[in-house]
Amino acid sequence: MKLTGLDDTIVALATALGEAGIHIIRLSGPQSKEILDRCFEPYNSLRWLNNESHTLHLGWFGLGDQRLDQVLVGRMHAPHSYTGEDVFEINCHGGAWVAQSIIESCLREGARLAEPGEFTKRAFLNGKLDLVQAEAVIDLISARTRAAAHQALTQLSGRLSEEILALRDDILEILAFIEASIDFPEDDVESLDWTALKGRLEDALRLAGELLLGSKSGRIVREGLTTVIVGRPNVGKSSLLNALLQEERALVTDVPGTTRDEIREFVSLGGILLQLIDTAGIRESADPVEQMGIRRSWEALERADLILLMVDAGMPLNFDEREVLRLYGERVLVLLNKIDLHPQSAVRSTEVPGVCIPFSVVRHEGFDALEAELRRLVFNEHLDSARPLLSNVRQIAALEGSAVSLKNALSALEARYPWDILSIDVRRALQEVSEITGHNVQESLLEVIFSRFCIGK
Amino acid sequence: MEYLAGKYGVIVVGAGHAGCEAALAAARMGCETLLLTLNLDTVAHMPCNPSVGGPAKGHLVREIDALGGQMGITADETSLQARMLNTGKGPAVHALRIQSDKRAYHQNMLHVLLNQANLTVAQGCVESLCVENSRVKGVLARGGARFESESVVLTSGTYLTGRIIIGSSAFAGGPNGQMPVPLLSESLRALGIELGRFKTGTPPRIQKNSVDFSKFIIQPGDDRAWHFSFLPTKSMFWLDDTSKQEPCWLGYTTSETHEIIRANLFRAPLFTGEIVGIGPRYCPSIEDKVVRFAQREAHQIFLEPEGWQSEEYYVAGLSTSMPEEVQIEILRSISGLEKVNMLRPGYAIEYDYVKPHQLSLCLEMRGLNGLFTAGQLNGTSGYEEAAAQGLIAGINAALRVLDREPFVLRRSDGYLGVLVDDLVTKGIEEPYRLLTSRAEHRLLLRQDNADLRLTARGRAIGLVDEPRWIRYEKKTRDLEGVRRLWKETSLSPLREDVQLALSRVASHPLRSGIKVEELMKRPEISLREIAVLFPELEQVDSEVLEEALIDIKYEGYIEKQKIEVERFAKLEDRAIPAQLDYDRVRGLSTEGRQRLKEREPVNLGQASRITGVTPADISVLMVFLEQRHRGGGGRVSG
Repeated sequence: MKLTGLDDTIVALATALGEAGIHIIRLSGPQSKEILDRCFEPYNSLRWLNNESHTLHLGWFGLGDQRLDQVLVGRMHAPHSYTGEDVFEINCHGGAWVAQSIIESCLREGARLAEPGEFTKRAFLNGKLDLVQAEAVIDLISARTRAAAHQALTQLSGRLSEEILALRDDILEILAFIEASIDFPEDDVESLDWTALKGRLEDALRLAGELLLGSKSGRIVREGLTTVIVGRPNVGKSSLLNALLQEERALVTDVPGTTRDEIREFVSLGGILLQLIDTAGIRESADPVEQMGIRRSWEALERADLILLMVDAGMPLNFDEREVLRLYGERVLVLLNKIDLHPQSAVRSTEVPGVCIPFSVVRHEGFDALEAELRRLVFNEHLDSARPLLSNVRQIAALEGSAVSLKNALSALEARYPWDILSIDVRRALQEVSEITGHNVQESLLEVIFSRFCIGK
Repeated sequence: MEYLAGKYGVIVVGAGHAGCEAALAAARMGCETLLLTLNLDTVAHMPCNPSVGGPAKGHLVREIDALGGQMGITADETSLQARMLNTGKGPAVHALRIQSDKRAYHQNMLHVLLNQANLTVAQGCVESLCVENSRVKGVLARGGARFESESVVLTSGTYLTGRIIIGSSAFAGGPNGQMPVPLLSESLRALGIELGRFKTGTPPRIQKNSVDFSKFIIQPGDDRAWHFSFLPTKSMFWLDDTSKQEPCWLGYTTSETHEIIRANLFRAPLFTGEIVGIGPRYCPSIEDKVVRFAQREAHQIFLEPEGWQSEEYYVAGLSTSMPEEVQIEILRSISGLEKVNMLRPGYAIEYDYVKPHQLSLCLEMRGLNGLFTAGQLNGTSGYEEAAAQGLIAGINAALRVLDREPFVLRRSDGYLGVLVDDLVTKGIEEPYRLLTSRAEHRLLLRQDNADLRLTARGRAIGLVDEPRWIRYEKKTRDLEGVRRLWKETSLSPLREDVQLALSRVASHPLRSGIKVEELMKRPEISLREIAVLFPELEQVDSEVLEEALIDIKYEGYIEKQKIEVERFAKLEDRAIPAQLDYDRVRGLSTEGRQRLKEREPVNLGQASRITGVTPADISVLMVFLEQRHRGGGGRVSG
């Protein structure tokens, strides 16, 4: 179990994420000033250096080319703050991704992600809240913890959790080799030489790096949400795509099935980067070329973060459309197209479990509603404070920590440090990744040592 | 007929490695102490390996010594050979292991016991405890002798309802042909103490002159005369002449050995269901190894002398409970043992142990004032683990009589702290062996600095005598001097001796002046290169120089671990009041609440290490304690 320090510096989003224009990130603890000194560039640095409590400072978060956003930082010194510690509140307006990046920067500079209810807990422990509020603090901690418990590894997609487990197993085995040779020096245990150890550490580091690149929020920030536009042939998918791109890219004809190749494009909608995949229509077909396209469509749906299902307002839902809604309901936004031609929609709203947006590509109607819905869906799904985003950030922070420790282990190895020193970094890497998988490091280590090595002089 | 046989400050029951340390500690701290043993001839007996130390275990022996315990001195004085293991793996895990003369060890310890002021040694078989109102009042021995005391340390090893198993033959017995103690288990159960059942085993012993040693690889002692004790000690056999050390011998099992084992598995008690106790994973029998690692073509065995020029050898690696005739067959299938004469068969032993989560961090039974348990009785294995607990229990038994604060070591203080905390806080599922990997601050808990960590603590409780204290003070002074010298001195590139020393280890030559401490951080630089540059340090003990070098060389990592210890200490410093009613703490998880009730941790740090207690439980507990502290904790809710 990770010991949470009593007076380390914690960070978290203080506002509920969603459509809010401004997010507040709260940093509390003795190192918070140091952290900001390293990440915040105030316009008026003299005023900042005055170190005066209860002041507001405008400036850039992120230094040099790492600039993230123009922010307003409020500083409140201990003990005159919510938690009774040094507290800094960073107001940013660049959207949810900026807020997340700011949190990640703070983590990198030595802060720790706050546990559920931790600001309030500290406020109480530091005498900032009266006794009557104690029960409420306890409720907050246990309620938030129950919610967080749902964010366990099982919540991750099957493949991602497999990869994290594989990383954890790799690090565990490296540590087992080191520890078995240390604790059982005279047993005839298999051992790793310097080169083999180096290779294993590099492999683990590579895997951690890949996982970080592929982590959901990392990927969304960099590559955007993979978004698939589906719909029966000729419903207007390519026209939508073109409207979004504001240029003719996909081949638009009236012959069903002409969009046979996947087209990938990037578009920013409501501050969210979408990686659009326009696919062939979903329709049973005997044409082998088209069949390939169709199979790809279903595969694309599997992988997509977001599905824009375009339906014809003039026709009832068909089997394929119902299937898409049934299988991927929570990821689907329905665009009720051609509403200009069919003001009385043939699709009943009760048939659509989620959101249904009246739409007309031709008349350019419904785009604002789509933007708003998109933001709501995305932010609620991935970014709601104390819930999935944070658990995501937590997992990313743990993975990053693990990667840093693996790097340290490699440097120690390069510098020819002995194994007892190396083991410190490798164990740290294992602990970090075990934060995600929820394994007990000591128990698993012994288990591996005793099952893998023939111990017993 | 029951009669009052005597009154004592502290009574220790059992004179194995735990009992000896417990009795000596209590007596040295000034308590009138009685040590009762089943058999005076088996005091400090080594029924298994004739050796002391190794990774983590050697660390423990150093710590026992630093606190003023006996094991290190006796092992040194009866040493047959000494080896520092793990020397290539870093300073934290260097581990001394000494082969001792089994009989000499026993005699040496008995001599120390019999010449210790305040200590009475007597033979007797304790059958029950005298308890009144949850307080220990004394013990009752076979024959009716009642010994009175308010502080009793039980260290009865593997004797409780001991059962020996060799092949299909199973009988009540203690280790190595001793009598078992049949009744004490019942007395403990009647007091509400929860017992479990473990199993361990030992290999056969063989006759030296029936062995062809030319088929074995010699394993000599080191060229340097190593000692556990921080006091000056010498082996009674080889003094300081390392060439006179007794060697051990390395050999291997053969495919024939494995065939014999496989052919006889149907008679192996381990597989027939004869053995029910749980055995240790780190010390499997040979039949277990052959079954579990079937692909291996050979397993190592070590022949270890049981004594100085001994006629009897211990066959390490061949622990077994196979039938005697199969054991002989197994032995004779090994190259060099074709004509061997087995002197004593290996055997498995099952025994009752006290589940240690019932104890406090002083090793006192919670809810039964004055009863301490230590050693194999608490489910551990190993002489060193036993001695370590004996020392802690003996100290605390004495402190209780002296009406002083208990003595508790933290995990960051030493392996002693790790051992006790693991037993009490985490509980055990198999015979417990200490490993260096169980310590989270391994780089700080080195065997070389055990005295720096603990001798002052031993002094404070009255265990460290004047000679030891004087040596300790000199060492700390010398160390300070050397550290300062190295921190303050710079070396010029013009110094030829410096450049020469560097070139010898292919280290970059100096181009500009460099601080000695910077130079020391180069991985290829060892004490040898530095020492030649400081002739003025010739008089300083080499252990002091090594200590200073380690501190400087690994400074970065050491500092990091120190910061972790400080963080860790903040939770350890938050006490949980005794008899806290966890049912009144709202918001705990169900499992957390149950575990906390069962383990009764004394501080938040300990609570956080209990399996099943979550970080949120700790947060809730923290808020509850603060609430209570401010006077609002009386409210019952939920």
